[in-house]
Amino acid sequence: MTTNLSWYHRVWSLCCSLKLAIVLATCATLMAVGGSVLMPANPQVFGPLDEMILKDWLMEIAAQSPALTWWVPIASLLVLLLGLNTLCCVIDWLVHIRARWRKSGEYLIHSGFFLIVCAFLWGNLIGYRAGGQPVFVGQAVELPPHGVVMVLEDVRPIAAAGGRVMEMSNTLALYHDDRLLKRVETRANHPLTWKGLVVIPADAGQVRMGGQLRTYSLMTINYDPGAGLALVGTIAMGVGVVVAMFSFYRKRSTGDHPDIE
Amino acid sequence: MIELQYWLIYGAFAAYVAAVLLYLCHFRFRHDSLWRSAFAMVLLGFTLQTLCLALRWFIAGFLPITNLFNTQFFFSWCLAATYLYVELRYRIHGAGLFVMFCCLLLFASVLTRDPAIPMLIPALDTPLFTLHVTTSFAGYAFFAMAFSMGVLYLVQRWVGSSLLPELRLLRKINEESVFLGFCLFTLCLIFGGIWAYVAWGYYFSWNIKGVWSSLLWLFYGGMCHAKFVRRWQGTGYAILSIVGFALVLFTYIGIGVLLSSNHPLT
Repeated sequence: MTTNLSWYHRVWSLCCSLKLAIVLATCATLMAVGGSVLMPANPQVFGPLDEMILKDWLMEIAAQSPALTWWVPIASLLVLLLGLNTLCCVIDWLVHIRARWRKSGEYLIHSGFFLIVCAFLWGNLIGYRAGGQPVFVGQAVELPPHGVVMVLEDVRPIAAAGGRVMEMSNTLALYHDDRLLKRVETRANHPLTWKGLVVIPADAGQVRMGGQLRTYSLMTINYDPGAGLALVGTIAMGVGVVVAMFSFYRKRSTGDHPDIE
Repeated sequence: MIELQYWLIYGAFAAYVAAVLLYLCHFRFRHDSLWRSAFAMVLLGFTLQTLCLALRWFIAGFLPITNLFNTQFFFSWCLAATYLYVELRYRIHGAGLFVMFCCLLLFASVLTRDPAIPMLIPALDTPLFTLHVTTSFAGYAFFAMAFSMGVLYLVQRWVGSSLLPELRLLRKINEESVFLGFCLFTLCLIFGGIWAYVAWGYYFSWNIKGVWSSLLWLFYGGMCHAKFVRRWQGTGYAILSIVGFALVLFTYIGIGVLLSSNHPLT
């Protein structure tokens, strides 16, 4: 029984270890530093990384060029392990919160990092990205996975003071079973968002079809189910940073010195 | 207004040059009056630069941090602010001179460029952009200070000069600079991620700038942990600060100038 307990404690200590975090962060950094050198010279391989989710990229593109892309899954795995190490640290902190509450800021940053890693994994496993989808004014497009329908109601130019067209404004409506869920006027930095869906009009134009001039908009339609979780993670991280800075100055003013392991 | 801008820019530059020269003289002659004058010159230069920045903000209607002139001008302002912060907090006199050299170097490069404020394109017309860029440069400025303290730590350890602050103080400032830089850079990535999501539809970009910014965050995150490990304290931490700043330089200048990225410098 005693042996089991000490074995369990040793494994748990390793999982929460500061040194393990440093080793994992160092390995992930070195792996990505070395691998990223290949990126600028191979845009045909690495360019589509932003156009599709990581799972699709690994299966469709990385599998064709393993010599160039091997570092991406390894670096991702190391970051995932770092996320798990961070989770163990947070659990350990929660168990000993009475003695360690002064480190709340630091552990909020840890929690935020873990949530962002989870969100990234979630979004890159079951999300999707579709760029450059032409949608005509009045056209309805069904957006998976919620079965909602998006209608492009209007496209109009937004001009600057001198009359020069600066950008296009798109009025988008989202319906579910003919019930209006949301109507948004989208433009730069103002996308349509709904339960992980994000619709961004990238460009607009006109084309003659059947003797009629029809206006279309090129849409980027992405679905990331982890986006909400990532936002929670960033909020935790942001609050953690503020709290950590406050407690840092508090510790310095009381002469608190970093612990030595 | 344009005329006034030029006066402020050249006035600030002259004050910074005078400050660096006075600090160098202080190293040679060790007179209190010299470092006091040097510090007054930094304060004067910083005040003029702040006035210029405020004036340009007022004229443009937005914080001008869009093109190379504006980012370099703002970065040099951040470096001067970081120097003043450390000087006022720790009274290290000329020990943070490297940061002032960086500030001068950037400022000198700014003088060769057109100061006209470009029109703000709709994609950049968001507070997220302003927050992303300001926290990024503020973070970089603290990383530059950490580099400076790291180099001085190694010099002090090997040479043992009475001109430099004691090792304990250098280590303390180094750790504080890394911590503050990391906090600010974390905020930069948070604002950048949210902005990327509303602008492109994803919060992490696999563009080389995105990858290296994440690496930089991981590296300095590791450094924030390394200060608790005895083996990495002192000399090891100083070396890490130097390596970290090399990563900063590559992420900011190397990628921006040499490679094609979604954060072009030119």
